[in-house]
Amino acid sequence: MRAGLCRFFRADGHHDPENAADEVIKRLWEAAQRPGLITNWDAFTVAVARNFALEERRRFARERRSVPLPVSPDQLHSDREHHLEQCFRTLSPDNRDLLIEYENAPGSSKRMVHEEMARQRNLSPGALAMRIHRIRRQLMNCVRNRAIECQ
Amino acid sequence: MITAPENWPDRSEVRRFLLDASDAAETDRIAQVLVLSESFAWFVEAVEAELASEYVRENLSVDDRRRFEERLSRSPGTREQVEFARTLEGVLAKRKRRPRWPAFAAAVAAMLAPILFWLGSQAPVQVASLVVRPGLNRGGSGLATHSFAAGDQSLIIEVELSGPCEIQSSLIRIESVDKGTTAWSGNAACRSGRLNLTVPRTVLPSGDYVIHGDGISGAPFRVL
Repeated sequence: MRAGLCRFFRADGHHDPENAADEVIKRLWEAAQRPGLITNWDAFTVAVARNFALEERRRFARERRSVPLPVSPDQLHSDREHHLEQCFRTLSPDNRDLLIEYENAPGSSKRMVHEEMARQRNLSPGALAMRIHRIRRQLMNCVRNRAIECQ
Repeated sequence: MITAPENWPDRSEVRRFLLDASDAAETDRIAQVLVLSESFAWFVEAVEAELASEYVRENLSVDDRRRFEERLSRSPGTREQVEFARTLEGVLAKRKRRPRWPAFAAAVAAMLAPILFWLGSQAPVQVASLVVRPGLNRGGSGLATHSFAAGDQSLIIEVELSGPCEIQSSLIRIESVDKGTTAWSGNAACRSGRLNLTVPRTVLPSGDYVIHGDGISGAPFRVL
C-alpha cells in the first residue's frame, strides 16, 4: 500500500512522496483504532490521501515555498546536452531511430505521423507511446547517472 | 498520442488530473488506480512527459500553461521532466541540422519495408514486408517479390535509406522492366532516413519493377 500511495503522491506532484505516503499511513492507523469508523478500506485510503494532498497544496501555496522554474544556467544546459548525446549512443539503433522519428514529427501532423508509425510496427498508438516513454526513461536515468558521476 | 486501456482513466482525464483541473470523483478514481497499478503510474508519467514536451514547444493553451507552471513550481519530478524535454529538444534540433554520414550519402542503399493493406473499410490492416537493396536482395535469395491479396487497393512502400534524409521530399520513379516504361512516378516524403510512397495496385500488374530516385540507384522487386 505504501508503494501505491507513493505513486499517487508522485503523480500528484508532491515534493516528497515518501513522507506524504508515511503520513497517510499514520492517519489510517489512527483511524483504525476507532472501531466502526472504516467500512471500506480502499475508499477510505483514497479519501485520506486526496485530503492530505489538498492540505499540502494549500500549505505550499501559503508558504510560497516555490521551486524556481527550470531556467537553467547555460553551462548546466550544455552539460546535460553533452550527457544526452553520450547516452544516445547507449540506445540500440532501432530505439534511437524510433525516438528521433517520433519526436521529430511536425506539430501540425504529429498525431497522423505517430499513428502511421504505430501501424507500420503493428502496434497500437498507445503501445508505441509507452515504448517511447520507456526509451525516454532510459535516457533520463542515463543522463542523471552521468551528471552524478561528473560532479 | 497516448491511449489508456479501457478500464483505466483515459488520457484526457489524466491530463486534467496532472493540470489540477479534475473534480473530486475523477481524482479519487485516478488515485484508486494509481494505488493499485504500477503500470498505470507509467501511463500517468508518459502523459506528464507529453505535457512537458508540449510546454517546452509552447504548444499548451494559455490556461493549461498556467496550470502546468503551477505544478512545475511545486514538483521536482515535473521539473526534471521539463529539463529533460528541453535538453532532448536541443539535441534533436542539432541532429536535424547536422548530416551524420555525408561520406555515404552518395551510396544510399534502399530497403522496402513493411507494406500495409486495407481490405475494405471494415477489414483489419494486413502487413507484409519486403526488404531489398539496390541491385540485390537483403536475404540474398532471389528477387524480392510481392503478391497482392484480394481486396488490396494500394501498396505502401517504405524505402529505408542508409543515411539521414538529404531533402524532405524526393521524386521517385517505378519502371516496368518488362515494358520498358514508367509504371508510376510521384513524390515520396522523407522522414528520419525513410522514404514513403503509396502506389495504386492498378499500376502494378504482375511483372518486374525497379525503383529509381534521388539517392536510390535502382531497387528491383517483382509483383506476382
